[in-house]
Amino acid sequence: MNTSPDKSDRNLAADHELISRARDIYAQACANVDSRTHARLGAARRNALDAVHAPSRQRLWLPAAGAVAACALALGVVWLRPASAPSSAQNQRAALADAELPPDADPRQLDLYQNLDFYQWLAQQPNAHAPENGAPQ
Amino acid sequence: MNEVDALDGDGGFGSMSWAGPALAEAPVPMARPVARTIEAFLASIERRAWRVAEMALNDADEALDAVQDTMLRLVRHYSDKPAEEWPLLFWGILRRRITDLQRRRTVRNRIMVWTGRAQHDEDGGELPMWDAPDPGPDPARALASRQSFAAMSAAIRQLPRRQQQAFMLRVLEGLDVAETARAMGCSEGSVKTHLSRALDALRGKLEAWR
Repeated sequence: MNTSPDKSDRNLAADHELISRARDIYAQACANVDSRTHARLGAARRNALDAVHAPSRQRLWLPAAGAVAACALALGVVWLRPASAPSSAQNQRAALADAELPPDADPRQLDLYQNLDFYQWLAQQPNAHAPENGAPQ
Repeated sequence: MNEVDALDGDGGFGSMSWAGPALAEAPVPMARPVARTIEAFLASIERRAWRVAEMALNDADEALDAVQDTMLRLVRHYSDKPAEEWPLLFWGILRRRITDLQRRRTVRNRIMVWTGRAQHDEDGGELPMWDAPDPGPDPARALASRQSFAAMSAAIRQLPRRQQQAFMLRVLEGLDVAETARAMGCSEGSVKTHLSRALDALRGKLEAWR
């Protein structure tokens, strides 16, 4: 560099003074932050810490809340079931009543049941189905 | 060889091993013990971070938002890192956040200029679109100290962005060259260049800081 030694020395001295003064001003300014800003900085710090810790709390609470909900559901089912469902004795009586009922009719036999009188009469006719003599078989 | 290179022999800007003859007697930033919990670390750095953001943004509320966002990101993504790494991570995040806000503000101002809604001062100069910072009640700080800080902040804001960052991290925060380079995401040589130019620009403005 072609900077003269005198100029360089002057710059160095000026830089020394500049840096010393800048640090002093900065230190004073940091020490003298007003109380309102100081409080806001503290709140910002707590918010930052809370925002990060909040998910971990959720991770702890969610399974616990799920377990409580499942237990409540199970208890509800146990408590409500005897009131609405029939007892085992009632179930047995219903099964016997069902057994005494005739079986459901086959749809193909429905015509028989509907014309039962006709078929009774037909059954009483002697040799109703016997062919006449000489008649072709 | 510029002054910063001459002074930056060991890169220990914040240490007593600072080799530069002109800065050998410069006051060393207060020793900062390593905080062992993330909360203690944030409590120890929040004021300085806010002041740095305020100097860069010239807006106390935006500076607070930048610091809060930086805290959130550090805790969320880096709280499991070793405590020794927190300062550099914090300054790196804050630097990017400030840059984002500065760029957003620049775009907003350009839009306002294009749409003819830019405001002008008495001399015809464009006024910033953001509200002037509200210093708020601050009885503890002396008027002279406030004026000096305001003058220094204004001078720093006139620097190009990278020079601002180099000056604030290296000079005010006392990070060494390597740490500043990591926080700025550039090489150590770039840090020295930016700092040298920043000192060149600020050298003549010292009188206003008194």
